[in-house]
Amino acid sequence: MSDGPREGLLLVRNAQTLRSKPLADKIMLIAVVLCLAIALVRVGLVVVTVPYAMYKNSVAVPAAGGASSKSVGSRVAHSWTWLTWWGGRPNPHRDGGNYLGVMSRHITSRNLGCVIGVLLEKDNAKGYGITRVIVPSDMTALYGEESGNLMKRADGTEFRTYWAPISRDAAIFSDVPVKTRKYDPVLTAAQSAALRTTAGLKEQSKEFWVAKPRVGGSGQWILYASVTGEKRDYFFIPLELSPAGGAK
Amino acid sequence: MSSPLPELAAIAYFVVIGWIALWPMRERLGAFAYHTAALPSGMLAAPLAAAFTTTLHRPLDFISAAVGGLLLVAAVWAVTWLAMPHASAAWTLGGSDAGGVAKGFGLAAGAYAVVAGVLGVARFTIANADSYVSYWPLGVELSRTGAINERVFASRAQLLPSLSAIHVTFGSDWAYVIYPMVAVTLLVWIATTLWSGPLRSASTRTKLFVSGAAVGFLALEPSFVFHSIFVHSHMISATYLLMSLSSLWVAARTADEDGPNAAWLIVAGAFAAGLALTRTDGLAYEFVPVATAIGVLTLSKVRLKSVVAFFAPMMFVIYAVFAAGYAGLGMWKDNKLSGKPALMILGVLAVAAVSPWIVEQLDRRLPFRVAGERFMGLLVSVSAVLLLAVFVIKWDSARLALANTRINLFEGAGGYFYLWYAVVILTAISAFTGDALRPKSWTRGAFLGVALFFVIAGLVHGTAHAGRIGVGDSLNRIVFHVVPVVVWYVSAVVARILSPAEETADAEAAPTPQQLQPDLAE
Repeated sequence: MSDGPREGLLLVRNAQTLRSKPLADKIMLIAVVLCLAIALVRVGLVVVTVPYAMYKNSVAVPAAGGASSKSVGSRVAHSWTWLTWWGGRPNPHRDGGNYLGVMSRHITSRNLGCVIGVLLEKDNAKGYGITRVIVPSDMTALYGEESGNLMKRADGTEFRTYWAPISRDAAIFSDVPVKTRKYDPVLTAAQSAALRTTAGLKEQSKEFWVAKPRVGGSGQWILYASVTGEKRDYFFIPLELSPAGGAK
Repeated sequence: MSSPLPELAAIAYFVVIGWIALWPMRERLGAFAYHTAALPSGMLAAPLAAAFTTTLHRPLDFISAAVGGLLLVAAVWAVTWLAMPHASAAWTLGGSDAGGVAKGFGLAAGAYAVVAGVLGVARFTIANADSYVSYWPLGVELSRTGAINERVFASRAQLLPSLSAIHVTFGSDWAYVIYPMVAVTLLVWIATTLWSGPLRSASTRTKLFVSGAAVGFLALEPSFVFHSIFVHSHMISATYLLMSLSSLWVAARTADEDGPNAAWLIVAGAFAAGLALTRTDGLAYEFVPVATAIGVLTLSKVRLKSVVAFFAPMMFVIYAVFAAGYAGLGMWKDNKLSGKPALMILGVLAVAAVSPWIVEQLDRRLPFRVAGERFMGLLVSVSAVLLLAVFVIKWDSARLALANTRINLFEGAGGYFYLWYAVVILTAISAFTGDALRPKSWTRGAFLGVALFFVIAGLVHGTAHAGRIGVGDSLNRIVFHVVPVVVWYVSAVVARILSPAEETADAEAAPTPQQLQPDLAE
């Protein structure tokens, strides 16, 4: 790509020309180089320090009797270089593998009340509220076709999750009998208190309706809540992998 | 973990549609630009497929996806035939180096496959409530029912749900690959347009340094990395904004006796349509490329062919999608964008399509110039005064919005660290170097484009809602859309400083299309 001597001559000419540039041009070049240097130094600090933070959280801390951090995000969560560089944005993750997996990162029954509570508190004045919950009687409608995570039912049989249908009403379940259930809290008192503290809620909403499937498996609960309002809909399909004890 | 193959198949579909749609323009665009533009161009088939299914009440299956692709190809080819009739030789391989073309396709296909394969195996993703409550499930619903519903038109815009729907049709469970693929496309596009634009007279080493620094800076910028894997509208909006604007700048600088380069105008119009359909506020930010286009189209005598080249692909895609929406939903009412204001904006777009002639007439009758390069400057000045007036009238909400923006962008709450200080300082210095408003330069259009973007942002976000403090704030995320344009602008300034020949570019003849074609095998 480079053409040797001509390239060298051009560089020399450029350097000579640079010296004769106006002051503003020189300042511009210095500022640009400074910006590049800052970017490189910041990334360099992350590259140098984060592997140790990850090692510490995955090996050293458990070896000393502490809890191991499983996800990449939680392993780097205490690295100040990462936090400074990443700017407090949500951490990337690669586990899950499909929609339900992604959902499971964000909505579990532990934070369902938090999310819905925040929305309801925010929009109650506008007349929004959860009106009903739709639960397919036939579990295959919820899990259905093969894709996503391999899961195990209580009876030991396995199934793969499928995108859980979302709709504003029961129309999408036209070929499946549906039923509604009243709110059946899955949060322990301690979890509810923790949620209230975390979310800064004045009062956690008691109005939303949540249903659980007739058959749970391996401790999994699939909760399907349809939130509808006057002009706006919220949909949530929370997935909790291990509800007992609260910790995932 | 589910297989990444369905996602890769969806991306292959978009790339192939893009290749076919842009085929007659490949020689005018050059190999790098042609192959890089294929993915974002092909993605426009998704909302057209959704418009088709919404109109005919059928699911968005493979047939509908194919029809969406055919609609896009037919529209772009028709515009090409109208705007570039003399380019008939480009419809076939006649006269071209068939071996070179095949080699280019082979290399591009290989590059796409490698990048998509790596991303498909890595499968990093970031999602927020918008991602898993709207963008993906709305796509699933669209794939099943085929109907673009009210939530899409009112809250989420049409491109992302239809993009998700195509993924679902191909069997995908989540969009891991398309977002980082678009980010890579943006990086390649920046290097390509800098290399063959502001850096064209620079030495190879300077080209490598400046374009490499631009790409490297963005690739190391955490906001860029974040939006590369964030299942949301921002990376795609940023890509369409930069690609549309830079295509217009190249079209202006490669004008010949027939006016601005028609091939670049066509892709600029197509990318502007993508910008409009990616977010509901995209219809507002759409006026950044539209205003730039009016300036480019009035640089010399306004030609119908040139106006058609930019506005026809843009208006076909946007109007087709919204026509399907109005036919199916009527005048929808909802939160972010209801039917009536959307209709008004679409009407303004129609007026914009004839405005080059209006501006030309005004330019003849007024005692000062308003056409060509002066148009964007005047528009930015007038709209900035309008913005100030609106801020004064609605000072309570504007003050809160400005305070939130200051805290987010300059005091760390938005996660940008020093980035916006750098933007402000570098832009201020560029005013002293004379690049900001230098006539007939690569930098003037970029500077004014960024300025108009912020004026629109002020009008949209400064008064309607004040936003909030934190990385999740809407404006805090939207300002990212203009970051690649700023990087392109700063790079163009550096290119001018480091390229002695560029200082005399005003006196140079415009580069020929051949000069703007970096050899893929170089």
